[in-house]
Amino acid sequence: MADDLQVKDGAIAALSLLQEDFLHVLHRLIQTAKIHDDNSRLLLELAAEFVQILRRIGAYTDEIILQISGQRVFLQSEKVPYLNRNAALLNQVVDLLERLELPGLRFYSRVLEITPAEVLALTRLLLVAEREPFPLLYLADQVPAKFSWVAVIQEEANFAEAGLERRERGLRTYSQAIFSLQDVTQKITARKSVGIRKAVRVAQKMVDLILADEPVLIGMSTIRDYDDYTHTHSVNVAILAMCLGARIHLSPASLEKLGICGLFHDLGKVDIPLEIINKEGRLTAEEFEEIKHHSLNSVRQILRLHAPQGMKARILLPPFEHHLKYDLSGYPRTSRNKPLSLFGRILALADVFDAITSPRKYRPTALSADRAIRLMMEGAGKDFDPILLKVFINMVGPYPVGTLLELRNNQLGLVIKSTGKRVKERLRPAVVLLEADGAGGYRKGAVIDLGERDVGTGDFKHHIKQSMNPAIYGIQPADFIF
Amino acid sequence: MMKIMAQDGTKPSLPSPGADELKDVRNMVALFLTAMKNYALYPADHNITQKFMSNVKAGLEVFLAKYGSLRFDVVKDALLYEGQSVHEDRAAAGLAFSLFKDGITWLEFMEGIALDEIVAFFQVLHTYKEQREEAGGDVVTALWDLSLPHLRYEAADVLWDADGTLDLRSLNRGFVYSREMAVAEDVDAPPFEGMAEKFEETQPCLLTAVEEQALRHMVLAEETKETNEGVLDVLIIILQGQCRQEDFETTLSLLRDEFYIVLAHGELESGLNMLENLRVLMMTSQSATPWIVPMLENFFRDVSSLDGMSGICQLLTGLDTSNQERCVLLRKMLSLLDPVAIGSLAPLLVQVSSPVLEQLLHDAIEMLAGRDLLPLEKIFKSADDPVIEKLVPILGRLPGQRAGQTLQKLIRHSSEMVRRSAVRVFLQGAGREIREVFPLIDDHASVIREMAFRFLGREKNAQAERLLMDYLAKSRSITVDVNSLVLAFDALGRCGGLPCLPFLRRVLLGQGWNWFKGFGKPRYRRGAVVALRRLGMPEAEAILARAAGSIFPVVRSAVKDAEV
Ligand SMILES: [Fe+2]
Ligand SMILES: [Fe+2]
Repeated sequence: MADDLQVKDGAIAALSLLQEDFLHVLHRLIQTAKIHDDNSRLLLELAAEFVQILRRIGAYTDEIILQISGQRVFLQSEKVPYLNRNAALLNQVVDLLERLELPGLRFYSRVLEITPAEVLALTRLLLVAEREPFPLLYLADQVPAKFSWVAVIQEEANFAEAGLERRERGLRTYSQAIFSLQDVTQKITARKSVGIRKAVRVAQKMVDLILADEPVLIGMSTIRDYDDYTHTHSVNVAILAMCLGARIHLSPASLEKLGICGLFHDLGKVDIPLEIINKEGRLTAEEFEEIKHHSLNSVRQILRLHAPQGMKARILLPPFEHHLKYDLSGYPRTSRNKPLSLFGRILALADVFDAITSPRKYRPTALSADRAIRLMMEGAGKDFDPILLKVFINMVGPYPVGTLLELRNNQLGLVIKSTGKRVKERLRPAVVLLEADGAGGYRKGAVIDLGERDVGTGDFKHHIKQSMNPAIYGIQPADFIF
Repeated sequence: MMKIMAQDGTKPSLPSPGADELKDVRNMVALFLTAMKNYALYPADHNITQKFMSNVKAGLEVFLAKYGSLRFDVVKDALLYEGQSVHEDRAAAGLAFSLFKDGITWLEFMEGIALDEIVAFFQVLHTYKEQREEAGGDVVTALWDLSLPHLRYEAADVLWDADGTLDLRSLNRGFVYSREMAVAEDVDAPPFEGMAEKFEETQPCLLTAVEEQALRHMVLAEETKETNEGVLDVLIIILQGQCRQEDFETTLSLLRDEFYIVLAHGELESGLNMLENLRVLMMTSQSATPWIVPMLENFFRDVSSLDGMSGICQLLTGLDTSNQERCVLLRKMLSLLDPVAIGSLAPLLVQVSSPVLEQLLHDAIEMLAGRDLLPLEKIFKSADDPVIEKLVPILGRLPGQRAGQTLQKLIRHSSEMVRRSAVRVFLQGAGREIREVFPLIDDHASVIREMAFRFLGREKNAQAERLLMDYLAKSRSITVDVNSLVLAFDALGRCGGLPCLPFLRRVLLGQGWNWFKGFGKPRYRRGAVVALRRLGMPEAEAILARAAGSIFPVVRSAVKDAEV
């Protein structure tokens, strides 16, 4: 039947839509099965729909191969692109397979005996596996014994994009964000009218990138430029805020707005005299008062932007709130006394983290990420939303990509991968060793896994002595981490 | 033309499209162009626009069923289909250039595309067809926001063509770190040894089930919220500290839009709060920044205009009057509006059925009209009679001559309904004079006549007595209905005294039928009986006794009939 099928040009497109439906139904099956028992009509309908879709896919292809690699979903070995509409679904599929420690599943779409009852049985098996100590082993044992139409893929595929290409893409977007902001600031200073089109474009690109490949942008957020502190800081805050937003499954449309808030949150600093911004040493009380005006000034600048009213209304409040703390202390002090918005709380976290990890002209020191995290943890419930803080620390901590580690043998290593689901994995990240290049700088050395153990003794091969801020060594992590 | 998958499953190299296929594509492009043109001429919800959208959908459906998808490559002034030009732009805002200028490199319509996707696509093209340097968005940002499932595209980075990328190695060139400085500066955080262990032991960042739940709620609330909470507050704070006139204007305009949104979602409290703050701002700016005042006055006029009031009117008609709190909020909100709001509030008086709501509207209109009568006067000139009728009582409560004059005018209104209402209000008013009221006893409408007679008979009054006697005396030469006669005698009995006795005696006991025209009729005698009884004086009783014993049956029966 398939042989005589005339596959039209649109078949590929049709198949890709079917595959999306397939993921959707699979995910809903599992979610629904958690709440309902097997007699539930909804569950039975979903199982029947699953069978239907698999049969329809059978018209195009013998099997459907679902895999994850690097937190991305692959179907038929093709990465499923993150789009505005399917981002949440893909995240959930990744979460599911990661919980099952399952690299992938293979469904044979032309096996005739598949029934809704069998689909339900598989769903139950997956749910049971989730609670097993070794889910993958359990599934590898159970699935072949019970089902003829599905197989477990045990080896993680390596679909990773070439590192350089990812870095290029990340850096290009990062640069575009910086250029867009510089453009905005210049026009504000020249009292010209300013549109937000570029900022919106760049925020959308960042959303796409984060949803497809979070580590690359998080890595970019380690870029520091104290000559242009406000711009790099703003882009970093936008990235960190959006990544946190993505972690808590905000919609892409919300992430876009959150990103724009991040980009513009310190726009009001254009009104502060440079002498104050770049002053070495402590600020006087008056100077600090001047600084405190900048959140409200950011709101004023945003109001002046050429942007749709609806967009402005959505991005005003968080910049206003970004120096207010969770307990409503901080500034600006106004008559308003309401809890901070979700975006405001996210922005405050990202803002503080980037600020205390960035060296500044007046303070050429900065905390390393883990120290910054510990400091921030003390502010849980007081300075920061305690729940978001936890998620944030889970995202960046304990050693985010770009952290410089001094090892016990005095070698320097820069964290390049810290993406494991478990804290344990992230406590022993992979680092690239930095070697002095003889000209006062560093070059890339070997990549080592700090989780690696000595085969003989079973002990870890490498040990962390302490973390350092890379800026102290004049290192731009983004230069080394891809 | 269909492309067939080769036997081994690989795709054969594509032959260039045949003449039929190209013709089909060109037909599709023609449909697109017509649709685009119409989108520019008619509003999106216009019949004609919708017809063309349906045409595009129908055309696409046929095309996609035949060929699977429709994909164009976009170049500066043309659309290409599999390498062949299928459309060339001559106009600057043409189809190809509209897409090209924002960086779209290709565009693909896929099977299953829905009408609303097509409409949305053309809306985007229309909105962003002109190239603007400083814009709020473009075709690409708009398509991203829409995320249409059956429309794929790719966009190039045209906005940063010349910019390249940052050179990371060139950053922080002059930066020299000094450990000494770091120590001197006290960085607040000692080296964090044992961090790893601490993390492993205590898992400080695992969310509890309760926290997971709370997090889900936060996100859900954010994703489903319909208004931008807090924005009104921030805008007010900005206005309070605003010093640039053009900023003030921009802020007010955003505030107005947000106010409407807030109202549309029934958030009375935020809306009220905003209006109150603006009123305060208006008062406090009088001296230092007087230019603010007219701007705010304008704002209030705007939100109180017919267009501006639609949200408030909806809230009013949908108000649950058992909800005291909301009633109070609305009442306060209405009182802060500009009096032009009366134009929208008044018509509601005849639409609402709840007495509570009617009262609320009445109070609000009274309060607003008290500040400026003109909008109410306008309503009296233009509104339907039932609306005016409901509004008249307000005039009675308003102080000042002008309200009284308006009421006087309404007493002469062409509609009986309005007149009646006006008279009632008029008569209830304090210090009304008999001579003002007296003419009303001749009104076309019996109710009004009744009211006037009742008014005249309120108390003993010589003036009323005299006028009524005159009236009754003259009534023999004009046609007066029975009812009015009875009422006139009744009123005379109530307001009169000794002076009217001779008159009444004459009417009752006079020489029957031919004494003079009319007075001989039984109703006059009966009326006189009524009046005499009302007088309740011994002199009157004496006359009645005489009449009861009269030799004339007409006189006797008048007394008798009047007893019934
Ligand atoms: Fe700030
Ligand atoms: Fe900041």
